[in-house]
Amino acid sequence: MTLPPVSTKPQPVPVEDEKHRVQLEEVGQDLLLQTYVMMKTSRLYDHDNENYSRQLTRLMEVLERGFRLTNVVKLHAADGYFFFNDKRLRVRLDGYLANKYVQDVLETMGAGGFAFSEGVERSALDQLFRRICTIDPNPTDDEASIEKIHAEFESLNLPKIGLAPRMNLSSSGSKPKTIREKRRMAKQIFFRAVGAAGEAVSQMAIDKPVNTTQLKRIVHSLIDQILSDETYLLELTALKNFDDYTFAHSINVSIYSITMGLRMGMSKQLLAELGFAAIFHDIGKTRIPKDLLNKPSALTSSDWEKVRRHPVDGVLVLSSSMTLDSHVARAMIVAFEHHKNLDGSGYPYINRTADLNLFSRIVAIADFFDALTSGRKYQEQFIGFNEALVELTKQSGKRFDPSLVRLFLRILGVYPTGTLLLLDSGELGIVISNNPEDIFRPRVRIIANTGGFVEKSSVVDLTAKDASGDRYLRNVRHIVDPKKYNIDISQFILADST
Amino acid sequence: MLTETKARYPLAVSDFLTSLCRGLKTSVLYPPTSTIPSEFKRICWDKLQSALSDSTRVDLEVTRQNILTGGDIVYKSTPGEVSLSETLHRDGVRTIRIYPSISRDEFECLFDRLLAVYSRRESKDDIVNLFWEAGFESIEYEAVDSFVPAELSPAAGEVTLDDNAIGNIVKSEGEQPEAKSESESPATRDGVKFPEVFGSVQTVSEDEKAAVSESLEHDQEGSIELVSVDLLFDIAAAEQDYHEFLKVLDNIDNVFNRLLKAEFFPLLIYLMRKFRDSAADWKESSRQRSERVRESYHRCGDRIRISQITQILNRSEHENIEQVRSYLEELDSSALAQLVWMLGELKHYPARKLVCDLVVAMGRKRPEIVASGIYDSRWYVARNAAMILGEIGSEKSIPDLRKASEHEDERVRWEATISLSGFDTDAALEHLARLVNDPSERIRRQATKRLTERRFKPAFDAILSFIESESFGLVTPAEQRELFRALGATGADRALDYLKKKATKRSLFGGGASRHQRELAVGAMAELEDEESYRLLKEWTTKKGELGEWARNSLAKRDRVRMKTDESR
Repeated sequence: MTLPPVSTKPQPVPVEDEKHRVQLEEVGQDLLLQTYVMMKTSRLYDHDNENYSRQLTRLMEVLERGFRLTNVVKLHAADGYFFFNDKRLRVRLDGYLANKYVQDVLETMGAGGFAFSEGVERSALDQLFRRICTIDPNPTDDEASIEKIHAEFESLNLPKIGLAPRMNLSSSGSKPKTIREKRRMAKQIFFRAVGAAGEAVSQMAIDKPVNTTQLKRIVHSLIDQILSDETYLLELTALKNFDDYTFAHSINVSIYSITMGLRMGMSKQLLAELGFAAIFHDIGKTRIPKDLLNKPSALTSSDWEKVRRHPVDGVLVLSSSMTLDSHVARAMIVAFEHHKNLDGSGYPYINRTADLNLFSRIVAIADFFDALTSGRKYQEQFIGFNEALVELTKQSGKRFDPSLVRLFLRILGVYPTGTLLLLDSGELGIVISNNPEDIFRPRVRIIANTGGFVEKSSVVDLTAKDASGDRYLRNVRHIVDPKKYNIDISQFILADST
Repeated sequence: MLTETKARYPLAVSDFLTSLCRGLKTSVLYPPTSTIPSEFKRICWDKLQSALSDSTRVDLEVTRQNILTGGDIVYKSTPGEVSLSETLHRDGVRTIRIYPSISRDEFECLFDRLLAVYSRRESKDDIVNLFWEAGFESIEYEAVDSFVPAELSPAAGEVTLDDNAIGNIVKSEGEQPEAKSESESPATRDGVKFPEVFGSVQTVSEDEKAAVSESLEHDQEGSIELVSVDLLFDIAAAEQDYHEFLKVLDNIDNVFNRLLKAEFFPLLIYLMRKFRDSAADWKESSRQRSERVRESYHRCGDRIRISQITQILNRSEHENIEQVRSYLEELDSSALAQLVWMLGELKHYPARKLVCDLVVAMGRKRPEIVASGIYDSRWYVARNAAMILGEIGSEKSIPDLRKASEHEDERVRWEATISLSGFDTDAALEHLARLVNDPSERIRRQATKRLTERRFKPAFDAILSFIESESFGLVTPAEQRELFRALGATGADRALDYLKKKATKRSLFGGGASRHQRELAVGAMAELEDEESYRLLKEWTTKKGELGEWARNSLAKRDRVRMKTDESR
């Protein structure tokens, strides 16, 4: 490659006024999208194909627009975000797919991004994408193979095209490299978060002050993990068999909420407030007598009155345990509103002029879904994950914000993480992640077949097709209720295998 | 060339860190409006650029005592000073890497966050959280957690299924009828089919994007902290049971206390307004609740809170001063006594001026509250009270100022004198007349000056008495001259007789004292306004010698005064 490394001083950029900033954002978003389109198109079509050619022309046009603003156009990824000429691009609601795909490809290439210099030729771009399309975009553990691929790209020496090195912007030590390491790290973060939530709630239950600094760090680690790859933490939300599910529930709600917030394009600061607020949405329940919380029989009207007070108690517990700042303020509002419905019904029955807060609307969805799937004593009987989604949808528009419900469905997919599926290949598998390209076809960990448990469980992508490209290799037959057979899915989720 | 660059690099980094520390210190010492901190910041930025030009990035390793780069110490903690390395290390930062792509904005952001922690107050966030929230694009850092919460894992499930059992399950499930189509998942609930639920979910419509975008924008309007305060008051208002209401109010009081400890003034001010407004709003519906809330409002200006604010103001000359001003301006006269006390505790002039101005404004309606400070056992409280009463200028305060003018401490008497001088009433001037023979020179001279300006005739005896006393000989010539002038200004006919005798009296033995007094007496006649004294002066101007000269000077002065008076008419 002939360009200087990306880490040298940036080319002079014109004085930043609002118009310039908007132009940079627009070009950056278009470049990211067009890079994604090129990566996909080069995989689907031959390089003399008209469609491929048209997309390559579009890419050139986008680059030209970039060169009018600066003479080196850079697109690179770090910690889940994309940067255009060192300016972070906003996350777009419909941009998740493109973001994820391009990031995964870059990671496989062992690169952080691309840099294009003014005058870059069509032939060089063509060569770049012809090489990219030969890479398997799925995450791999094979560091040696990543290095090999990276070296191959470097040796192409494409004029006016450079590869940016990988960059790690967040805190907390070295980045995990392999999938196994990433899963381990996610598990550690998750269980630490559950532990921290437990400690904080226990302190607040006895009216002791809480160290918000530590809690914020926990939330930041959740966010960093989700930014890096949400699938690992979402997988862990399927764990339900905690002795005291309260704390895991609060972290699950936090994870769901943060993921939704990220997809909406929230800033890190807002994500931190959202994650923090979600953890404490039910803190008022520390004021409900334990025997009432665990009461197996139906609640009386007096019981319900006590239960319905918990949003108000939540506000008071939060305000007395922590110094009021933006995080605590959010938490207070969410604690108060998370049982208030979009149509104005719900509780507590205190009239306020303020609209139902966005964060409350997000947490309400996450709380409803996780509560429904946790099988807690005073809830209805346990229902499966995707049945819970159907329930959620039925309440959309009345209880829940419809655009947020749709967003949530997109995140979880038809078969949310933890769903047990029987495949037409005669295999039993647990969904470990949604497939954003096709929410009907998740990624599944195979655990058993008619011969029994598989010796080494593997992960299969249900979008995978046979050699002809016409038929899917595997299809979902139906969902299996694990409770019916006493299958503990947590042991498979917690397994270290990749 | 490379060797030179390598040798230069640690020095450049050291320069950068040194200027960074200077910039931080300066920012704490100077007010935000001063240009000096920004100048230091600019230098710091230049130093950073210089360090970056010698390397692909600036790599810093943080220990408790030092900061290193490439093994070389580039910063050392100085005993007795706030240490940058210790500040970073305490919060868990271990490495920082700064890349050349760093923009000026990002640098300013880094600086501001370091400053927030450097001038650390209770309950502010730590540097790692602040760094995280900043979302740096060209700065990497590594941090350790000082705490490790227990990891709470789920209970291990018992493995009850063996290979046989699971194999049978798969078989039996496989024998169930297949779904008719791929997209028609068998789990339909209450007739809701998956294609209807999920079919269009993957497509994000423009309406949906707009709805989400609007939600985000709407969320950012206004302040979330203020909304949460409103929420607390809404909850209080909605509480039917009075005891529950009290609990909520106690809670809000605690919120206030914590905010004060964190020095979060904008929210404190909002809370005070809410207390005050709620007390007014609830007066009709519930007197009891209204009074309770009013108590909370008054507590905002009680001794404990005012002490805390005093400590805040005493920490630094300029920090927080405008925010404190806004806070104190929200208080009512119930806080007046505490503010008077506060004046005596403040170290820095800008803070004293601020509080003084406030007390004057507030005290106009309730001068008696300020006056109570005169009777405080602490001299500085009495002094402050005397000063403020003068600023307020209410005649009702004159008896209290008289009391202050009799205080054993000269500093109190002095303030009382200045304050009394501001009044134009006979009552005030009478008190001043008593001060003509005060042990303190400055008090005497001030009193004399004012009495002269006002030509207060009742003061003549007091002035004459002092002139005739032994003490007169002990005062400075300048003061003597002023006393004679005062005599002239306050005496009229009586003064003329005295001055005439004094002017023409010769000491048998000659000598300075008598001559000087003769000169003073002639000079004092310039103060007289009657024709007889004018005629006498004119007559003396024809005399040879000193008397003539003194008379001419005095007459000239008198003519000037006359001309001025005629012009002003």
